[in-house]
Amino acid sequence: MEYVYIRSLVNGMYNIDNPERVDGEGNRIHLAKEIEAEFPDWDFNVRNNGSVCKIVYSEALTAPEKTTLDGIVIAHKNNT
Amino acid sequence: MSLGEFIVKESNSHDTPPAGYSKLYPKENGIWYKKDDAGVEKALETSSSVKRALFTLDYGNNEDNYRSQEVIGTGSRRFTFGVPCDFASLVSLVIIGKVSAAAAGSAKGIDLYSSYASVGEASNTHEESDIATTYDLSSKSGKFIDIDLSGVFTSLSAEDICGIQVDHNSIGGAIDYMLIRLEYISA
Repeated sequence: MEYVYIRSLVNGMYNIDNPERVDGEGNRIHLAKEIEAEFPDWDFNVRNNGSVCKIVYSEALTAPEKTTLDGIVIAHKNNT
Repeated sequence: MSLGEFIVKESNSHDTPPAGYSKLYPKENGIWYKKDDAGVEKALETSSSVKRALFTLDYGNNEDNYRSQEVIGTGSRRFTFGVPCDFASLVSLVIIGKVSAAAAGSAKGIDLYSSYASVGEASNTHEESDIATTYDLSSKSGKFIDIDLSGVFTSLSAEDICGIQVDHNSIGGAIDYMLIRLEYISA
């Protein structure tokens, strides 16, 4: 199953897996790791191809899980 | 169907067989594969249209008489390779390394992150990750293994420039990576 987001192009670079999202030591924080931290039991992978980002997971999401996932993606994208 | 034939539906989804068994199946690219009880998948066909490219990795370590790039138990490394200009579709893509004694064991967490694009595209046009898969490295101490990378290169095209980050999640010891092997059907 897939949950799809649109990536936007900023200064020629797609920005959903945000390169500015780094930890205190400057290491990049991947969107997949932030999703895993919130949902450690999920079996999923993340595919960003062109303007589309797909979270591909093995089970259907509940409405609250989708809301939480949206929040994780938006926070990652905006680096907030 | 004629006598002496059997037909199998092509699929890209195949589980690992039970211990002591292997399985045969065709994937959606039309190539037959086998998978053993360790989950190791290999393409069976060697038709002239299937080609193989080997990429040696940026190295930093001596292992036996090999040069390798060591990734320690909680370390990560990035590697770069390219897709040949006559690439049409992917058969298999693996990274090959030697497992240390301390890294051997079951359910080892190795995360894979890819970036790939062609000249003229944004470098992060394609980025994929697989942090869920774990690897059974039992009885692999001192042996070469191949880790499947195809799941994070699902939209590969000819002449793509490809980066792969291999990230070990406290797997207990090092793996010395030496080669990336790309098998493909040529145009």
